[in-house]
Amino acid sequence: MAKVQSLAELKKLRERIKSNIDLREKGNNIEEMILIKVAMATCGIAAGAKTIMNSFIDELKKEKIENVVVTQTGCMGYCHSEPTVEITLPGKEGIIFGNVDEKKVKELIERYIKSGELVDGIIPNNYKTIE
Amino acid sequence: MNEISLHILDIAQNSIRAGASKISIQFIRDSINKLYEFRVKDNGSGIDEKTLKTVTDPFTTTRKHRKVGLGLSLLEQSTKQSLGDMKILSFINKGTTVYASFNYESIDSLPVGDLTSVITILITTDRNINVIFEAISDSQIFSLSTEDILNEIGDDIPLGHIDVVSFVKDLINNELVELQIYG
Repeated sequence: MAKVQSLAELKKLRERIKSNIDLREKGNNIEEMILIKVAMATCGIAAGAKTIMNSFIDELKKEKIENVVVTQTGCMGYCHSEPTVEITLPGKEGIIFGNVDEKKVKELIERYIKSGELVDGIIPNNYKTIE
Repeated sequence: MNEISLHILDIAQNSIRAGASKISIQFIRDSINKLYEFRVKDNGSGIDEKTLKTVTDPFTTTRKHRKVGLGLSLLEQSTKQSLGDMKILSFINKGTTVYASFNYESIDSLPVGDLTSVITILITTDRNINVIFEAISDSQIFSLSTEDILNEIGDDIPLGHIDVVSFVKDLINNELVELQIYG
């Protein structure tokens, strides 16, 4: 069975990421990263959450924004507004945006992630995260 | 749900919710029987016997914040329309296995879809959930797990870091293309 040989290249990548983090944080917490969570339960998946996740990855790469963690989460109870995305900027409370499409992804990166400006589509924060 | 991959993503979400620390995902292309098959096996909380009987009923759900649970019902529908089969095996506190097959020569069969992204998403979800992926195409096999990745990146870099995620995605994509998993 051929184990992935190129997985070892991940070690090189590790060094690069680590030095980037060290440079930026200078002793601060590594947790100081932008956190993007895409909701992916049945409702989110059916509404296209996977495409949204892919566009975030592609767009962030294109914009060379590197201090980001992209992950998925379960149903947050907003099935009516899927795909939903929770974005947590360092030191701020997470904000959930609903009905996100590819155009919205660009807007979120350009306006919210880059300059902290709020954009349309926010789901009010009197929610409870279920998972 | 119009791709087999999306079903895998959806079924694996159930395993995550069941508190699994280990999820094995097998995807098989069987060119002799003309089948796409997948198996998602977890060590989560399992499903009790009573629920198991009605688990593909859309009105069966264990969630409190909505009254429907469509994942397994939709999978059942998709396998039926693809002249395939679906089985669920579960033991309380031991875990659950979901098996599904699709005859890819059936005109109503679902396409594989973007398996690369789905596996990337799952494998980089959580460092405490070891997702073990295996793709089997006739006699060839490719495997990758969350543990494999953690062994390379260590403790101080987040698993979901964008560079890690896109690296893993490229890697899986190359391997799946080589395996001719998409036919």
